Amino acid sequence: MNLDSAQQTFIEESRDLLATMEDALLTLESAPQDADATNAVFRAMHTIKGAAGIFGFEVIVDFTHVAESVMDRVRDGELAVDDRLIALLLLCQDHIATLIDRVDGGEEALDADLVTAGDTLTQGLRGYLDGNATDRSGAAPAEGGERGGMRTARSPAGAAVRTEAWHVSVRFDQGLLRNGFDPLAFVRFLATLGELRHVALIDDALPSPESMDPEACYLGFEISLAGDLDKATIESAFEFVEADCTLTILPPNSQVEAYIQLIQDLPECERRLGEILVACGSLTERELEEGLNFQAASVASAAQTQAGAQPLGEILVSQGRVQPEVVDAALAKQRRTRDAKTREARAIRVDAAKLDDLINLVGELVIAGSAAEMLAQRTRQRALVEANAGISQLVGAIRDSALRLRMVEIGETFNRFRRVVRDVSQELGKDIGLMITGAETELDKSVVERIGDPLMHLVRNAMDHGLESPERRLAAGKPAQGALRLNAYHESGSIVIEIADDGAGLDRARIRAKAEERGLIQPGQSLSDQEIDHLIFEPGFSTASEVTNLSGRGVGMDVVRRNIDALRGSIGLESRPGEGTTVSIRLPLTLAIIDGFLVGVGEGAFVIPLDCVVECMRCDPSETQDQDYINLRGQVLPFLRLRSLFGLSDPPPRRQNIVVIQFAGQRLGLVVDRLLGECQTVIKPLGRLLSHLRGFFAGSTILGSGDVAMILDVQELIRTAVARDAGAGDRHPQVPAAIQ
Amino acid sequence: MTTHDTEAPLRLEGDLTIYQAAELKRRLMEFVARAEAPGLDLAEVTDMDTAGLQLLLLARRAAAADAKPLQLLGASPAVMEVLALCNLDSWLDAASASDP
Repeated sequence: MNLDSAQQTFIEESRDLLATMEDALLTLESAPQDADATNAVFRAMHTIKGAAGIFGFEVIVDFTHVAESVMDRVRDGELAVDDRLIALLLLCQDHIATLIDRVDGGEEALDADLVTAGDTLTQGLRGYLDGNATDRSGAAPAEGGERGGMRTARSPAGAAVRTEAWHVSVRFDQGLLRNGFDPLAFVRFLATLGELRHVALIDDALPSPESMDPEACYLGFEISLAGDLDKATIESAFEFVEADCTLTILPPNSQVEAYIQLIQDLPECERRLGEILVACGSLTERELEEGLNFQAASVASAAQTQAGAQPLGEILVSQGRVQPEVVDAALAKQRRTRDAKTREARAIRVDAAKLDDLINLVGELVIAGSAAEMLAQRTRQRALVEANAGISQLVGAIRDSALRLRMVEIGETFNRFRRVVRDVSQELGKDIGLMITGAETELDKSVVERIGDPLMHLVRNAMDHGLESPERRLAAGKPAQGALRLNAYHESGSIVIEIADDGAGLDRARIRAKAEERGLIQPGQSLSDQEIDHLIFEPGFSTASEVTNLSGRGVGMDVVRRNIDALRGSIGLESRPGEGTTVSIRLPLTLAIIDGFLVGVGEGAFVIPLDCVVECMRCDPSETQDQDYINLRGQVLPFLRLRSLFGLSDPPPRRQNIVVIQFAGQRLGLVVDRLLGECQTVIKPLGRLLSHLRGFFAGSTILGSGDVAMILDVQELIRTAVARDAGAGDRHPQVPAAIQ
Repeated sequence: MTTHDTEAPLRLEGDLTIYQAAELKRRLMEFVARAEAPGLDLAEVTDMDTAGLQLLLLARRAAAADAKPLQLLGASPAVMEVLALCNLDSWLDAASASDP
């Protein structure tokens, strides 16, 4: 791995960590005691600091260091988390994100604004560090270097052991000697740092002579080290082998429990280790006895009731030793740790460009496959046709799996809004609760990347314009807290994302007035409620009578709609006065390959996305002679004649067919000449030369025969038909009346 | 195998480091297996690292398992330094005390 790609990894991982940190901070806001969240914040700062150090980003190191120190104190329980600290840390997170962005952009130097911002934040953080007495040597400014496989026990307040020496416990990994390190050298180095009070060599891990590898390391040390030291200095001795050893450093005067914990964490026999600690002078005989007895008592009491096969947790609760919540918390934590570990092991990082290459290749494979299948069918050799059918089935499966590789859950995108909602609701003085559902719904990564901005705008819009202030809500008989709901689900080959609020709903009178003022509609023009609502998507329309910090950024709903359109998606709006507004965005699951239904019109072949096809039927000329609709099982089905739509003048064949398509709840029939069957379709976007064809066509594709087929834009066709039926086709081509 | 073989101490010379570890393990194990009262003379050892120390401990344990303590009959300054560092110099003292 060269430095550039390593740096890219650093940038990506840092961003991930910052996202985790934000999540954790928001968790802390509602549950300030959450140890996992505290640790997550600490770890984020700590890891970024360490990695930034490797690349020599001193600014990031210095900044994260202060934040890390503050979190360390929080972890130790010396500092309580309050709203002010969380707000400060959130700002710090933003600042680090900015710094990382600059690294990503290749800008090393900071401008004055950033420096000032950083200094202000650092000062705020230092307030937390200086506020309490700095009696802990571990919190000294020079602290650093704790990374990787090292564990560090902290010094909690409480009954402390009487000893003035640090206790260093280290177990080396087997590969250490082969890597050219000599553990004895570390002990010698420690001897230069302070006074070695006692060194105990732990050789318990030595296997039997037959299985012992003479070049592997099986040793460990328990060392009592006196002197004017801090944790970082001791850790620095093991800096080069931090990944190859398990290190625990107990500061002087640690609690007995810390030692007992150490004893239990180590693989060797408890009693023997206890004696070693006593020999080191780290513990007294009495302290050891009491500590171990307490543990033993718990175990014994568990054993007594073992007949009932009660879990230890329950026994402890029933004996009144621990609160049920404590046990629950412990269990939940265990589970989380396990889950996180397995998730880590399951996921691998792949360059997105590689995936794109794969998808492209699969696309070509699909095309080549259908060419082969067609040729095989022409030969009329049954065996060959069957073999080809098998292959194309597999190709289809490969296509689906390849596309699934790019699928990501939308939850991550949703979670980003927790922070936005928090910040904005504070800014606006509104109380807003965010509910997220359907976070596990998957969609293509390239779609996720491009949906973020439109979503952000819609969410801000809902908070700014949709939800009312607490006073007005109470006056309207609603709970003071406004509800903002983000939801996602799959529906017929699309993903639907809903942004719903329970606010006042759209003010139709005002929208109308505004639209008339802007000349978007004629005064007195009759419009349905829905048409009025959709006016907000018109270019240059903004209802914000007061320009707040949130709106007035020059980005209107029309931009949102353009963004969604560019993704071949659609946007719908449903508003009930006094009850709220729901905006639903409907997006295709993928932008690359779809299952298509091939139809022929005149000379040409056209593809309809199979997900939209409901049924096909014979077109009865006697029934459809002069009208643009048929009676489909008692319901009116409007249809479009593709021949006339495409301006084909040659006479139609005697038999035509109707393909019934459905999109976003609307149905439409398409009259076509021939039905050609299903085909896998690799979507090639329309080039600039053909951009005037947009409206009818969503793209093109290459058929097995090598011919080009246009992909019909179902959404636009339905829009056209509805506009025609409403008789408003010319007047308002921009109004997306197709959406309910 | 002669009786002489079972009584003579094993004299190790030169370096006892990771570079000699494989060979050293073979010699030590063979020696411990065959000697009645195994003794080690390390007076001529020029250098010893963790790998060497580890093998000495392994040999001591193997010998103890056969109920014949492995005695240290001599130690060079290099060996002494390592033993002292690891608080194992009592091994040498015990050997000299019980070996009048």
